[in-house]
Parts: sequence; structure tokens; C-alpha cells
Amino acid sequence: MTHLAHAGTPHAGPALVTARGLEKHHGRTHALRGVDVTIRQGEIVAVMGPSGSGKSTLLHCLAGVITPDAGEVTIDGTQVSALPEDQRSRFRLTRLGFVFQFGQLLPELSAQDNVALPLMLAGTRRARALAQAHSWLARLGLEGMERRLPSELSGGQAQRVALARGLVNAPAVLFADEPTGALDSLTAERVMETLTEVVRSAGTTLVIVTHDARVASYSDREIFIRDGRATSPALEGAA
Amino acid sequence: MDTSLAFLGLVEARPGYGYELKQLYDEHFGNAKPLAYGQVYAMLARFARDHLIEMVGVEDGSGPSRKQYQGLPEGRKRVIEWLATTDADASASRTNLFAKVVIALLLDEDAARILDAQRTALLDAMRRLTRAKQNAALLDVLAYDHALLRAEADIRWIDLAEARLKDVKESLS
Repeated sequence: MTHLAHAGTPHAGPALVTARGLEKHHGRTHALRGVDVTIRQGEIVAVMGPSGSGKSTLLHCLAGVITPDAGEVTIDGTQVSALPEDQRSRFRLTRLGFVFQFGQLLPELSAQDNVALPLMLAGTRRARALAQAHSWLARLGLEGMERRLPSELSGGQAQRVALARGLVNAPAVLFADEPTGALDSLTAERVMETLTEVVRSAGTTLVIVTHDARVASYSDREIFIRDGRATSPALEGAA
Repeated sequence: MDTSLAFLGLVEARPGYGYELKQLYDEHFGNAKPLAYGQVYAMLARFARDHLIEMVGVEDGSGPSRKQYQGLPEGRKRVIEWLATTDADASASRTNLFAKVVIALLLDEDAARILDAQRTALLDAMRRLTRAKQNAALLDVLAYDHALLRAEADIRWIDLAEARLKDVKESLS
């Protein structure tokens, strides 16, 4: 127990997500002030910082949910920040995955339909989408839960369904915003273990916004946001 | 941890020879600091003298004779009393980091940078603990949980200290 392996970035490949000079205002609030970020293929990166520091704004800019006022975001060679809205939306649907704090499953759809939804929206045939959803639910330990509605699932199960939905389109990057924020400690730990195990085996890049150091401890490194500016110990060390 | 009472608790729970009891202690509690044999036999002799445990057998071999011990009701009572004491610490401790922050502020050094470096180091330590925990035995998992939560508490203190830094500096000047 006294001998602990070194923390590090065991699975990182070439740069996959690059942001340069990101600026964003929300009304009179200067949320991002020239943020540069590089995230490599297969990395698990935690974005941390105090409330209102700009970490969710950074996530939304990186994921193409909002466009920065200045600067650019490139994901896997595509300059996402320069795409028109319809193409950005298509890019998000086909290349990115999302998980939020409260799962945000559609309450009237079964677990399997919730997971299949991103595929069907992207044009995959229903039968094929349902088969893939079934396979992802099984992979996340939810076999037999396919027909259940979100209201018939525990918090941990619902969040696993949300993970399956985030991963079903084999995204280049999975973005997670406080994915365990609504769960108790033990359930949160199990969800994080499943999440990191799955993304590591699939080689998926994971960007996770959290204020929780225990969640961040599953990452390879952290990007710390304060007053709209980013610091990253690993990048500073590598410079 | 109260080594003596934890060891007495093991004798009460699992009668055995001195070396067996030492092994059991090291397995459960001694990862960072195993018991020395001298310490084990001194404790057993003291417990027996105080009628907390008794010797129930001697096995002669080629080396020194091996003595088997078991707990007595008085020993169990002592352990139960210890279990009932609580471990809540309400003292406001002045840690090394606390001192560094105060001195940095007094010297007009960059206290925020010191807090940042500590946060990074703590997060790195938490990463190593989390990785080690993933394949650990359940008792070790429990110990890693404790270490992780202490590190988390330190990080939360750092976050608060950072938010109060300006006010603290003013109060010191």
C-alpha cells in the first residue's frame, strides 16, 4: 500500500482538441480571457476551478455548444468554432458525446430508446441503433434494464444510461459536466470507475468539468480555470 | 491510532500465539509501520500482568517456547470502553501549510502560487491513491478512502484559503 504507481498520462496520443486565444463574454462578464488548451488523444482531463471561474463556458466552447467571441477550437482537424450552426450541430451529433450532472434522460423514453436517440438523430436506422444501444447498456452493467423508464432507475443506473448515450456514437471526445454531482459517494465512485474504464479501453478522450477532487483524481491531469484564465501543471511542466 | 488497544482488541477477537497476533496486526494495521517483536511480547506480558489476557498454552520447539494467549472479560471491557470513545477533533490545527501561507503573506511573497503548488501536489497524490485503490483488497480500500478524503479536505481548505487570501493579508498588515 505504501508503494504507489506514478500518476501520469499513460494513454495520451497526438493533440486532438486544441483551443487558442479563447475569449467569451456573458453580458458584462468576461468569462474566458485568452484561454489556450491542448488535449491529446486518449487523455482524461479534469477542468477545475471555483464557481463562476469559466470552466463550464470553456467546456461549452470546446464542445461547439457556443462559439467564442474570439479564438478558435479545433477537434481532430476540424475547426469547430468556424463551422456554421447546422454543421456544428451535425459535428456534435456524430463526433462528440455529452454527459450532464442530472443525466437529462428523456422521461417518456425507455433506457434503450434514450441511448439509441443520438444515433437515430444522426440517421442510423432504428433497428441498428437499438442493437447498438443494447450492446452499450450491457457493457455498462445494465442488461435487463432496457425497457425501464428513467423514473424506474436508481440515480446510479440513470447516470450509466446517460454514459451509454454519451458513448453510443463512438465519439472522438466525451464531454462530461459534473457527471457524478447528483450521486452519493459510493455510487459516484462506481460511475467514475465504469466511465474511466470504458473510455480508456475505447481510447476515447474525456474532458470532465468538476469541482470534486475525488472525481478529478480519475483524470490524467487537470486544467485549472481562475477568472477566465487557464493553468495546466502538466503543460507548464512540459514547456 | 492507539497501538496497544488495537492489539488488545485483536487478542480478544482471535486468540493465538504472539507471532500470529503480530502478523494479524501487521495485515490489518501495520502497512506503514509493522510491529516489532519486542513490542509485541512486551504488550502481551503487560496485558497478562494486568489480567486483561491469559496464557493458555505453551508449545516447546527447537527455538524459544511459543506461548498462546487469549482475552479475558476485563480485557474485552477495556477494548469496548475504547471503542465507545469518539475521535472527533475540534481543535483548529495550524499545519505546515497554514504556517507557509501566513509567512508568505508576511514576507509579501506569492501565497496564491504556494497554494496552487500544494493543490497540484495533493491532486497528484489523489491520482496515485485512486489508481492503487482500484485493485486493492477491501481493507486497503478503506484506508485509501480515508487518505483520499483527507487530501480532498486539504484541497477544499486551499480553495477557501485562496478565496480569503486578500482579506487575510489585510488583517496581517
